[in-house]
Amino acid sequence: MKKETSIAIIFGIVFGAVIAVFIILKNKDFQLQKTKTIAPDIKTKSKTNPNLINANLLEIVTPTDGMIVNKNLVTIKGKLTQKSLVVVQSPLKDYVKEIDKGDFNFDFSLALGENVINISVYSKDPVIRNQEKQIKVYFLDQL
Amino acid sequence: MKKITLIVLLFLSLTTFGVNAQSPQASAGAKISPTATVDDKEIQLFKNKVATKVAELREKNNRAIAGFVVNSKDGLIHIKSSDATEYDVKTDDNLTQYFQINGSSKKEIKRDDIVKDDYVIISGILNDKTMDTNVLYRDEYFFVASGKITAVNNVDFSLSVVDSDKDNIILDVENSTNQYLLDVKTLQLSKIGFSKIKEGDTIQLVARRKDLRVPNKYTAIRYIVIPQEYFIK
Repeated sequence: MKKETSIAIIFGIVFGAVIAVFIILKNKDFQLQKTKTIAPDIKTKSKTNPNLINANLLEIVTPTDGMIVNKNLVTIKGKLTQKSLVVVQSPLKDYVKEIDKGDFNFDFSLALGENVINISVYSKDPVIRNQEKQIKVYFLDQL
Repeated sequence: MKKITLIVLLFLSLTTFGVNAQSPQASAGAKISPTATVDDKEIQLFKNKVATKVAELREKNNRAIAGFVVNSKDGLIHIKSSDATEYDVKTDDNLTQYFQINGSSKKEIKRDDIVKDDYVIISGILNDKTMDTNVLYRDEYFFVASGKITAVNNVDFSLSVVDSDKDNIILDVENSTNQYLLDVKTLQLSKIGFSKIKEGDTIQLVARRKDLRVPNKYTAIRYIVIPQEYFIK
């Protein structure tokens, strides 16, 4: 074989190898560009929780927790910051009403002994978190 | 004779003057009583103020506590409330009265009728974690809560609920359970059957503990279901 032919073959092999490497690398980049990663980035993670507002929907003025009374009735007085569905429940009675924003008051019957009164407030606005307060009122006639 | 008459007349006039002289002493004695009356009034006013203040303080510091009897011996009952706070209740054999609450009335019972796991209510002055009481009521414990229904078991007729404290509770529904559904349009409550309840509905419940040794399992007395449709605009 001639010297020139050998050199040409060697150059051809080297050139071919260079082109092959180039093609492989380019293909890798192209594949990476095509494939979307599953792991979320930090920006999207912070937006996964809806912006639930912990608005103070409900304020109860009376009765206070642990209050002792000597009659079978108590007036529940409070304030709503938005029109809401108010559900008041005790072992004796249920009270359900949609109440407008502002002050409210209504009478609630009591049983002799301990009355665990659950006052829940539901807003139709999905952004506003529902609220609940539990108050224990004791009707003891031996005062 | 004239001299004697004059002396007698002088003597008589002097004694009359002496009698007159006594009247200023009587008026001096009359001036002392108004001062005593003023002092009495002030003392009485002070007593009334103190009594009112004591009554106000007593009313302010008068507390009621309730809990399950842990143990009971001699003049002391140890109780544990539903929030796991422990109290000592001091009773007196001669003074303390014991009652059983039956609906809207009460019936007197004996000290020995109060046993472990009874739910009792006491009122009095709370000193740290100790209370002296003259009256003790035995009552039934009710669990009142709200939450979301996470599972409906149509085989056992039970509901799995996550309450507002994020506790998982199992609610057994019995024939005697009063079940109500809120009508989303009229906001009226109507009686329903177990089949109307769906996962994801909101529930407000009143229940009693099945067994003190098994936490988070209750028998439903009454509940109101607020359907998910209420919250859809």
